[in-house]
Amino acid sequence: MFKPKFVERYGKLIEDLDAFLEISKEPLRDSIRVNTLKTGKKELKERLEGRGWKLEEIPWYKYGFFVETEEVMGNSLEHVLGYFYVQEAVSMLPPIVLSPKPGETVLDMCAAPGGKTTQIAMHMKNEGVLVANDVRLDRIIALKANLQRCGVMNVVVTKMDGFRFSRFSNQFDRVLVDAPCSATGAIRKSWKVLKMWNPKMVRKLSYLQKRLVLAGFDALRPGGILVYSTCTLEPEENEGVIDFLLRKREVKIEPIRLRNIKTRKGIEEFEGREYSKEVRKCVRIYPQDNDTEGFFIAKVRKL
Amino acid sequence: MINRYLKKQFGVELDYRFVITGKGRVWIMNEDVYDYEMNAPVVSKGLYFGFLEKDGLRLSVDGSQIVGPKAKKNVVEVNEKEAKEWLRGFSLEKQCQKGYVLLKYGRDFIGCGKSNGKIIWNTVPKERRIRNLKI
Repeated sequence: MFKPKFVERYGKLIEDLDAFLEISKEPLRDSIRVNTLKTGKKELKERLEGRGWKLEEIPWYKYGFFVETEEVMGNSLEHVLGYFYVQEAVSMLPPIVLSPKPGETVLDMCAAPGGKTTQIAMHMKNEGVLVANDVRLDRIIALKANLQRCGVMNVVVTKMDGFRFSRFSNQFDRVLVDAPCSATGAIRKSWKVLKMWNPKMVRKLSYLQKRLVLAGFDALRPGGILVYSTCTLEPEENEGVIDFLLRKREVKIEPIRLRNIKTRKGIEEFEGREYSKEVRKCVRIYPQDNDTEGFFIAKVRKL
Repeated sequence: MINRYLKKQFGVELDYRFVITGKGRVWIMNEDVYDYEMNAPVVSKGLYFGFLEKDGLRLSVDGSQIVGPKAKKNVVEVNEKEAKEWLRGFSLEKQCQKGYVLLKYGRDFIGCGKSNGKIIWNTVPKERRIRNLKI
């Protein structure tokens, strides 16, 4: 099931490796996010519970629910009408950390399929400008369908390589770089992750992520906030990328305060590579700690 | 111009900006998005609001949800069976006023169709139709 190389590497990374491997075999709990652009939390909860769904509020996000239902969630009237979005519970965290406000100009650099984008629009209350970018047309089609279903009207959808955003210097109040990654935190979602995983792929992705985060940072106005996130636990794709940014630009890593969720600090050293001590302010979320996916989040301010 | 259609068809005016593209696709957006200029390959701006037909404005499902709660006329109430049929992509045999009407099921606005007085022609796009809809 797990490649020996993978187990060896993750044994050095995760103290409680057995717990990580064990929970990686378990399916993820279903979760949804209320779309307050179209309905209210109380109203949606009453409707779904009225049809026999069991809802439990996600401890770290007031608009999220863990859900138990026999129904296919996507076939419900409430889903068709855009009243909720099926979204993994920890993938709701990067927009919380980004904390966008109505009236701001925000960039979501790797936006498709749109879970975090629609969440950002929701917190912006459809005011200001949200630039939602992706590089692949097939992914943009999915993104647009989700933006439409969720009633997002403060959006400009663009199709270009994310690293080309460096030419829009000092334009955005906030930037989310939810980068493509090796997804080792999302094994519970798809076993394909394990089949595809190899150290060479990690290095290749890390190169791309560094280009993306640099471009996202350059597009940020002074004082603005950039959130970098991935669903991988690979240090090279996480702390390695933030360390690179620290060396290349005038950056302040901001502490991340999340409530009611167990997080771990960013790591300073892995397999002989040392990163800046500042990366300890980043957040690692392990699947075994909260019965979720794994995630990495960094919050950066432009000086 | 779009507000003229909205006023005539549903007795509503909206404080948003509209852009008409292609053969009559109408997009709704706020002032900031309308004014936002970007030297980049822009795929779209705003939300797809509806289609400008020769005889009126046909709203998208999401456009219907924006207009519906404020509409003062041409709202047709449908029952559960009709709502399911509609969202499966079928036209409805239903006596109602002629022209473009908004379909309302309970508190929900589920779309906009054109009626000849006896049939409301379905306009739900294929990608939004649900065969096994649960209400």
